[in-house]
Amino acid sequence: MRFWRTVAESYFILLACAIISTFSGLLAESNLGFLTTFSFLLFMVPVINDISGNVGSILGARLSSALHLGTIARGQRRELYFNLKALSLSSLVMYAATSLFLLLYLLAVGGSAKYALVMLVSGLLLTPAVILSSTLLALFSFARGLDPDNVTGPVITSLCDVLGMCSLVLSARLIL
Amino acid sequence: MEKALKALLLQSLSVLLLCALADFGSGSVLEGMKERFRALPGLLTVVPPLVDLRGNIGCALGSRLGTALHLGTLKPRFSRSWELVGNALASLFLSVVGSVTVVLVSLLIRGSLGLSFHLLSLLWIAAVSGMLAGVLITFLTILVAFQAFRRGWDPDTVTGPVMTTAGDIITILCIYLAVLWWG
Repeated sequence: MRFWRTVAESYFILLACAIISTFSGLLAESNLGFLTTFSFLLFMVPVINDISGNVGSILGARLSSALHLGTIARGQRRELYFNLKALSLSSLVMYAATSLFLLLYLLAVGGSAKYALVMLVSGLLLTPAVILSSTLLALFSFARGLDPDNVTGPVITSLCDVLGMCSLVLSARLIL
Repeated sequence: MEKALKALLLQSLSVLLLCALADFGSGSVLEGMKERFRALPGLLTVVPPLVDLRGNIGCALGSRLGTALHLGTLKPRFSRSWELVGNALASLFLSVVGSVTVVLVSLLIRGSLGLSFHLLSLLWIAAVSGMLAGVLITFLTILVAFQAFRRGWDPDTVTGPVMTTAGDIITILCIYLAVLWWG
């Protein structure tokens, strides 16, 4: 029956992804004192995780289509470099724009401008990590014969949760 | 700048920007829940997996509906057809059962690291928020997929980003409601 097939197919991949995201939660909770002493840090978590998750899954989906179409193959690097360039740029522009938005908000409510810097620096740290990991994941899952459309999307968003939390904690600890 | 790069940047940035603005909403709910995270050990650990789970369920439902709409096996209106009801029930079922197992697994990892947690309250929060968010997200996904299809947009490109972002806000709000309900 369709119902049980859908449930059974989704269940294990959902569980696997949840296990990856648990480490993002554990990391956040082990830094709870730090994250709650300063305001605005928890506020940034969904924004950072979502941008990197979206950039990672767009890149993963585009690379998997290109791999299926055969436009990325041995010796042909153009399509690969084009996607890497476009998504790195998107990611950097997004972090610059959201940091600017946060800066304006901080100025309006009288908060410290340092928080906008924390966001910008964690974006700068995160961008190469996300681009590299989703490229590797797309190439690896294609080589393994897994359908990248079903596997890479959920796995990349979970992975980005962990990477995002790492970079936020790191940049906050450096700056604040 | 080359034309193809410009077009791709324009498309991805407009979606990303909309999503990021909405994320500031989820961020303020998290910021408002600060004290609850301190009072209930384990709560912050289960937030990312629960949020992630719901985003994935919404995405998968959206993508299955998109395929069915493209194939013509589903018409873009609410009906009792099994194609629609079966898909909706599957995602509701996954939302409740998934949330409970996800919380159990996260707490197992947490426990194996020697950290404390409050099992009963976290299971209650998982079940209640799973039910609430499951109903809201399933309904919203169907609505978005139908509207996108009627307007001639590709549901596959629209529902994914919209549902992960809307899923974040809905899930975090439902977790907060469940926490308040537990006391």
